[in-house]
Amino acid sequence: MGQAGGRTLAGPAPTGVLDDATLVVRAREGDLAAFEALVARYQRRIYQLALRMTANSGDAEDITQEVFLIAWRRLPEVEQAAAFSGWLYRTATNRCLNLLRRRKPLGELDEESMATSTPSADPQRAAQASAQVAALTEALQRITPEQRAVWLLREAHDRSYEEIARIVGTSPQAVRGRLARARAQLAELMSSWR
Amino acid sequence: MALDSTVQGHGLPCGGSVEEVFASAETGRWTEHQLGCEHCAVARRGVEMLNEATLALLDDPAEPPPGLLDRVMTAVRAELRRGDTLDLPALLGPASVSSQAVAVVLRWAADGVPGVRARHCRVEADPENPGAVGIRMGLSVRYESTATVPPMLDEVRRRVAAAMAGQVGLVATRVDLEMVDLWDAEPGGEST
Repeated sequence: MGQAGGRTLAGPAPTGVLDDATLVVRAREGDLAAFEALVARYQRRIYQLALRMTANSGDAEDITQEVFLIAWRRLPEVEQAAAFSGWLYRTATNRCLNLLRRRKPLGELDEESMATSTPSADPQRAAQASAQVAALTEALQRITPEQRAVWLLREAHDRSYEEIARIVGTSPQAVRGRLARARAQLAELMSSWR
Repeated sequence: MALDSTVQGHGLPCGGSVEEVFASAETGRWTEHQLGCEHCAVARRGVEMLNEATLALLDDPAEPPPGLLDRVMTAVRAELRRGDTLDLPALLGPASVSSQAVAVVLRWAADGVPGVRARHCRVEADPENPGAVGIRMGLSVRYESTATVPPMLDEVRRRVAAAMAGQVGLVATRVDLEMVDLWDAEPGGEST
């Protein structure tokens, strides 16, 4: 008999197309392939949130790894299996905010968080996008971590006001206020770019 | 672009606000004042820069390090607790198999039925009948009509029992199925 992942005996299950709730229930019962599919599905989004929050690739990597390990340990406590992504975002945001509270304001921005160019069919456009992301990443470090979290969750990760309120522990109304302040300050910071 | 956030919204020295500039940028409709005002022009530039950069960020090319997934899974495997085991019929000595591993095989068999996604799976030995087991499985099922569900469940029972016998070597005397979720989209779609 193979591992609980079941690959040796039964061949790979089509875990890539399964919904979160199904994967969470399976992972909770020790199905490693199901948990691996969840990590594969969300690692990019959680890493990018952590990278834009901390502007440090090492911190982002540590936080992403921790978030998924905590997820594995706490799977039995995730009551609503379909709410798994919200749980991941909440845990990741809290880990980022905790780290930033311990860190001096305007910590070092490392090269990876600023240099974001990738191969592209249109190098000029890719370079422009890369420079814009770098400028925005820098501007994000100049607003408060709480505003940054709200702005990233809403604008870059498309989470609802209600969900963001649960993630940062406030009301949807307060989230709207914080988002408006973040947008205004980011626009001011970006107005002097280039 | 000097901001006065003590007034309603984020006021500009001209009496306008950043919120108004955001709103105009969204609709593409600019007032005469906004078009002629230097403060609004600076705010407009900031808003447009932010909007463009936000679009670029939505396509964020930053990727997690290639080894991250493996490191997570290595740590997870180290913490994996093997649960119950099932005794297997054996000639030369005791043999057993992890219930978790059997559940993976049975879910895979159930998943083979179009429109079925297996969720929880519990396999218990029949204490009075060596080599026999009872199976309880939860299913998320694509719902088309009341007519399509019973044959779907029959097929799941048949495949699960066959996998138990053919791949594990135990006889399923009972396969209890529970529909825990219904969905009407294609696989990969959201549950309803």
